[in-house]
Amino acid sequence: MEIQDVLKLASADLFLPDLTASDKDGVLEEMVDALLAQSQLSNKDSVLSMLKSREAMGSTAVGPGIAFPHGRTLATDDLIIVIARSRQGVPFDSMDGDPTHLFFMLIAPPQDSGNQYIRSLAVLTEKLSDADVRTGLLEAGDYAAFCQVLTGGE
Amino acid sequence: MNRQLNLLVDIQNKELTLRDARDPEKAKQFEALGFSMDPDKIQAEIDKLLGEVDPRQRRYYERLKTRYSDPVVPVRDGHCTGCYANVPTSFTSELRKNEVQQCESCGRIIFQL
Repeated sequence: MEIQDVLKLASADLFLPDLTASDKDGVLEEMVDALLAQSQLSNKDSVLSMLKSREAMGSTAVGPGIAFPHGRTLATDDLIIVIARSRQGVPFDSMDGDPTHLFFMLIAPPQDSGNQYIRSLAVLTEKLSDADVRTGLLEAGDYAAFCQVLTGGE
Repeated sequence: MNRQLNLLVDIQNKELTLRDARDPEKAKQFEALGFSMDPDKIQAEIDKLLGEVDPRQRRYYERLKTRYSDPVVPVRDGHCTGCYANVPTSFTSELRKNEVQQCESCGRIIFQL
C-alpha cells in the first residue's frame, strides 16, 4: 500500500485546515462533525465514544506533533480518513508532552479485507516520521498542496 | 437514539476494539506502530457499560453473544447486515423511533444508521 492509496480514503471535504478546538475532546468532536456532514454516518455519540475509549487505552498522539485517532465502528462499511490541522496546537496527551498539530482520524469498519486499516496507519506513521514532511504539512496552503507534500509531488 | 440501544451499540463497538486487541497478530502490528492495546482496559469498559443495560436486554444480548460474534448490527437498505434478511417496513418505522428491536430472521439486535 502506498500513500496515494491511503489518500484515496480521504478527501478535500474531510480536510479541516484550521481546527478551532483547544482540547482533545473538542478535536475529536470537530472531526466527527465534519465526517457526519459528509457521509452516511449519523451515530455521532457512538463514534465519539469509540474514539474516546480508544484514547483512554493510550493516547494516539504517537509522533512529534501528530495524532492518529482511530477505531472500528458498526457505523461504516468503508475505511474513512479525516485529516485536520491546528496551527496553535492542542494538548493531546502526547508522549513528549508537546501540543499536537496534525490529526489523521481513521474510522474503520468491523471487518476490512486486506487489513487496509492497519496498513494505512503504517503508511501514515512512516511518512510522518519525516520532519520535512511534517513541516510541509503545517505550511501547505490547501488540500492539494497538503497531498502533494505527502506524496512528494508524485 | 434510545439510551438502551445506544449502550448496546457502544458495547458492540468496543467489542470490535477488543477483538483487535486479543488478536495476537493485529495487537503486535498496532504496538509496533506505537499504539498501546490493553484488552483488560477495554473489557473493563464493556463490563461497566453492560452494568447499565436493562437486565432483560442484557440477558438477551449475552445469549446472542454465545451464538454470534456480531450480536448488534445495523440495518442497511432494508436488510439486517447480520443475516441479510429483509427487515419489514413496519420494523423500519419502529427502528426510526430508535427502539431496541430484533431481526425476525436471526434474532440479532438491529438498529437504523
